[in-house]
Order: sequence, then structure tokens, then C-alpha cells
Amino acid sequence: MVLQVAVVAVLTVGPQPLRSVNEVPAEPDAAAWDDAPTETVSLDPQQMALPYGGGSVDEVTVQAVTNDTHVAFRMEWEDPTADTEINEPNAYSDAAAIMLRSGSQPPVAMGASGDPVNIWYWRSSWQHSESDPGGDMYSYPHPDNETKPGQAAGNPLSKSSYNRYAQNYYATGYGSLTNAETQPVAANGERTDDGWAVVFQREHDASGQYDAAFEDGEQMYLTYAIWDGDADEVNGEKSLSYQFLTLDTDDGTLSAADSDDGGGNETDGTDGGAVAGVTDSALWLVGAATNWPALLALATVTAWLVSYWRLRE
Amino acid sequence: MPETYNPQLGREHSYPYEHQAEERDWHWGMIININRCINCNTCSFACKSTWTSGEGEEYMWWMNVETEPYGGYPMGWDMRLLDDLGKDETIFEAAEEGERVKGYVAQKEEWEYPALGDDQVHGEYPTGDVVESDLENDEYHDMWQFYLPRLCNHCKNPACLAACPRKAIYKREEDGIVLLDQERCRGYRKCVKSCPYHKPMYNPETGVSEKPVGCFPRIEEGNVPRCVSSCIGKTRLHGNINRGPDAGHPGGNASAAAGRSPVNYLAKSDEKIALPLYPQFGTRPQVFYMPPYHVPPEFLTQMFTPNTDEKRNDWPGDTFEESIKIVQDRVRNPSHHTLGILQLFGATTRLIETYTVKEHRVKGWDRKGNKVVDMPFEEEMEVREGEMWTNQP
Repeated sequence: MVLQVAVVAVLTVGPQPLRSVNEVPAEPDAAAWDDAPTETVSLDPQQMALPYGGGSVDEVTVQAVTNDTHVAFRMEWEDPTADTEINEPNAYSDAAAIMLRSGSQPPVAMGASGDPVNIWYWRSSWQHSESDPGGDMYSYPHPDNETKPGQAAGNPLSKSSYNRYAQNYYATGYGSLTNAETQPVAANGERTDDGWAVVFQREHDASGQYDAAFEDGEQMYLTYAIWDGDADEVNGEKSLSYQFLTLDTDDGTLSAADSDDGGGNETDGTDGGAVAGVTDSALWLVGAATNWPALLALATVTAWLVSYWRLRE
Repeated sequence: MPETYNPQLGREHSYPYEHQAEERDWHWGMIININRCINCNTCSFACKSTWTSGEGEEYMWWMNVETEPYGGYPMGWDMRLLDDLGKDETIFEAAEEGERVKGYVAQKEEWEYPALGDDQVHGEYPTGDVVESDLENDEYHDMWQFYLPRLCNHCKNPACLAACPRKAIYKREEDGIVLLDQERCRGYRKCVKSCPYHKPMYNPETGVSEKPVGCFPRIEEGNVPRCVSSCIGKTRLHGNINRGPDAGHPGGNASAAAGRSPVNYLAKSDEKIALPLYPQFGTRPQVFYMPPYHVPPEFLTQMFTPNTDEKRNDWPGDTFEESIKIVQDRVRNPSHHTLGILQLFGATTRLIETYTVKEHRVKGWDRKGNKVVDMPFEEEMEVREGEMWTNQP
């Protein structure tokens, strides 16, 4: 939680226009993407909440197109191995996600309490898995609906097959990821020569409680994450962008989030507004050092510790 | 990271979660008398047919019996973790930066041979004189092995719970049973990695993990788990490990005995006779084993004690090897009181909350104060005349 609070400000990247098209492409190799401007987003290992990890992928190329009814995002990254099976204890799937919210910039740490975010997630195993891990070893005495607990509980990750290849989630901080009641997002990922290209697509209108809204001229804030199954990346072990992109839903411009435009995210005075990626702990320390209330607190604690040790002797 | 006092180690160590409830009035606990186990695996099959008979659960043996010293399921699980841990280092203290708990995910192949090493003995077959055990003079037979029934320990510091980034695992308020929410799990396998006893397991068919459930529906009904009730060798006793000497009459029923539960007496009294498996991992496991008395104490010391140079806990003896020797002797020559409690093993499928041992009779009462056992130490022998010749040609 402390680390989450520490990451109140994020760095910014260059502007990117959103292209308006007649038909929003569902395929990652559709011609409509050829003319769409691209933005390269750099990724870093996740080091805000345990378990730390990631870092296998250091950048993702992103595009966005829209029309009157739909919006689509394309992500492309390098990954030499296609990891599409989760059929063994040590098998993890490649995956990608976009975290987004309209109106104000959310905390990069998957939102926060009272500060929800919308997350779109694609997993290669949903789309490309070919294995059937069980079911042929002996005759199974009981009905499947009693002996597949994940399915019996309605776990959205325990389905026997998937058709939209994406899931729509809400989160209010780490560990809070929740499957949304409505599932309006579709995804489609295909291998490129050296990695993956994935398209996420959704209608502008979505009825879910925290679904990102693509209307009312509100700015949309976006950030990205990639998991490489070959490196056992799963959960918090992921490569993510600490930088938000913004998408102007009026004029269709995808651009850098202004770090001063962080809504309620920089109100915690303990960090003195220092601009810091958590990966750069040195920067964070400098920020803390110039923060006189923090110094005062540090001095008080030090003085107390010294006198305590003396007393003990 | 919060510190917690671990009575099995006799010291504090870090544990990633604040305790949800420090002590409960009722806590799941089991005693296993290793000396009575014959590796029949009735417990294993009782568990499997009850809980893990489905697709994707083929390699899930929540209950398994392995032969020490060479067996292990998953393969070599204990040797590997002991190698990875420093002396006097819990899995929480050994965690590397960026993780909560030290551990590893066993590969598929390591789960595929649950009976590997079964019945293999330690030691060479003697070429000269056979050394007979003479325990009073510290002489142990050259060759030995023993059977180790293994199951989820429903730990008081559960590593699986601490490692789950989604809090999909929780410890029940009412009985300390550790459960995994099948709806909330996302298959990250952090519990699979972190449990030193390797009891949470990944289901490739559902894409999420599962863990033993302590037969909670049976506990709620006042019955012992299936592995206990099915045991043909009367190796086990199950009950409320937290019921100490000061506890009152169960269910407020004055006709039922007050005080300790029988499992609490065997695991926690001054006459402690049952020890936790690998307490050095730091999870405070709640299955306690009565160690085999024919096995050299050096081996048992690393298995059933914290195995540190300095002995910090309240177990008998000045060193842990001494503790083992004392406990082995208590197992071999049980006191009259312990012998009484031993009669309760396998005597009923009901959970025994309190008991009395008077002269040569032992009685037990359930949580409501109903009497569920009342039996002599020795049943009278009855010979049915009509069957005298059944086995003759």
C-alpha cells in the first residue's frame, strides 16, 4: 500500500492521433492498421506489489482506431516463443492487458480503493491452446459439474472454451481484480514474425458499472501490460508501462497524459509531488530528501532511536 | 513484515500477514501414530474418491503415504527445500526480494510417481552378524524405513495463504481450516509454489489451483475426516488441537469431562508424544506425528524438530536429538494415561472433544457433551465356536 501511494505521479510520452475509420478492424493484420499512427510505449518490470517480476518485454507498439460506434486498440510486441498452453503446473500463458479509465487519471497501481479502473485482458491460451490436459486417463466416476470445482464455482478462467478471447475486469488496487458482470470486450491475437499482435475491440457504449466510457468529450487514460509465459510471468510478474497515454474521444487524439492532470492522485502530501517511477528508487529518495516534513520525521525517529539505545546500555 | 511468535521454534519470525485470529477456541488438528501405519493407502483412496476424482485432478493426492527416507510426492520435495533453506531459516525469512515465501513449483513429472521409493529401505543388507535393535543402549538395526502419511497441515501460519496475491485463500474463523476460493482463484500458482508440503495443486483442466479442504463438511457435522475414519490400522486421532487444560465442559454439559482434548494432550502436554513435520519451515503445521521408535534419532531430528543447535522451544530434553529420544521412548513405553488415549484412535468416527482415562477404561465426549466412546483398554476375547475350522483344508 505504501508503494502504491508512492506511485502517485507518472512520466509522460508523446502525443498520438487516433484514426477514424469506416469499419473498426477486428484482425491484427487488417489493412486499416497500416495507416493508423503508432506510438511506442516502454515497459518496465512490476515492482509496486509483491510478487515483483516481469521485464521480459521492454516495449509495446500501440495504435488506436475508432468510428461512430466502436473503438479498437492494437498492441504489438516482440516475444520469440508462443506460450499458449497452461496444461502443466509450470506452464504459463502469454497475455496482454490494457488498463483504462475516462475522466481522470487513475493510480497506475491498478486503481485504488474508491478509485476503480477498467482492465481488458487477453490470454493466448484462450485463443490458441490445442491441448486437452485431462479426461483420458481412466473412467471418471462422477459428473464433471461435481468434479471440476473451478467450473462448478463459475470461475471465468475455468471455461472449457472461450469465444471472445478477452475478459473485462474492474480493479480497485492490487489483488482486487474482479470479473465484470458485463463482458463487452473482444480480442484477437495472432503471431507476427517475431511476437504477438493483439487487437482489443469494444463498442463506445458499455453499460457496466466501471466500464471506460468513450463519450462526453472526456479524456481516456490508458496504460499497458504484457506477460511472457516462457519466463513464467503471471500475476504481478509482468512488464507494464508506468506512463499513461490519453485518448481524446472528441478529436480522436491519443497523447501523453499530463502529469499535472492527475486528478486526485497527487493529493497525498507525503511524497511532495516528486515525479518518480518506482523502478527508479534513487529518484524517489531524492524526492523524499527534498521533502522537509519527511526529513523532520526522520530526524525525530533517529533521535529517539539513539536515546533508546543509550538507555538500554 | 509483521513478526509472529512460533512456539514450535521457540522464537519470533516474520510472517507476511497479520494473524486473522491469533487463537481459536476450536482448531483442526490430527495425531498420526507412524508406528501403526502399514502403507495400505486406504486413507489416500478415501480422500481421492471423496475429493479429487475428476478430470484434471489425476495427479492430485491430497492425502498420500510415502516411504521414508527415499519416497516423496512430489519427488524429493523435502530434500530440495531443506537444501534451499539455511540453518534456522524459515521459508518466510528465506524469501528473496520481490516474493513473500521461498518455494518452488514442482514440475509435472515430479507429480507423476506418487509411489516412487515405496518400501525402499535405508542401509545395506548385512553380510556379517545382523545388528539387532537395542534401543536402551542406543543400538539401532542397520536397515530401516517407515511410512509417512502426508496431508495438508492446516497450518497456523499458512504459507499458501500468505503467498496468494488475491487473498483467495482464507483460514476459517470457526475451525482454522484453510480453504481456497474456487471462484476467486486466478491460477497464479503462488500457493502451489509456496506451500513447503506441496499440498495446494494446480488443476490444468480448470486453470486454477485447488487445495485440501480438511473434510470441512464432515467437521461441521462433528465427524472426523475421511482419512481418519477409513484408517484400518487405527493410526489416527482427530480433534480440537486448541482445547487446553483450562477449557470447560463441552456444550456446558457437566456430565461430560472438562479440560484437554485427547489430541491436545498428545501434542501439547508435559507428556508430549507427537511432533510436527518439518517445523523449521515456520508454518506451524497442525498434524502431529508419533515418531517411529526403531529409526535412528539423527534422522528423525531433522524431520520432526526445528533441528537447530540451540534448543529454544519447550520440548523435553536439552537438545533436539534428546527430545526425539525421549518422545521415542514415550511412544514405545506409553504411560497408562497415554495408553488410554491410544484406545481412542479409530474408536469412533465422531470428533472427540474431551475424554477421561480411569483405571482401565477410557471415555470420550463430543462438542455437545454427548458421550461417544466408552470402552475398556482391552476388549474381552470372544471365540465363536462355529468358525473354529473355517481355515482348515
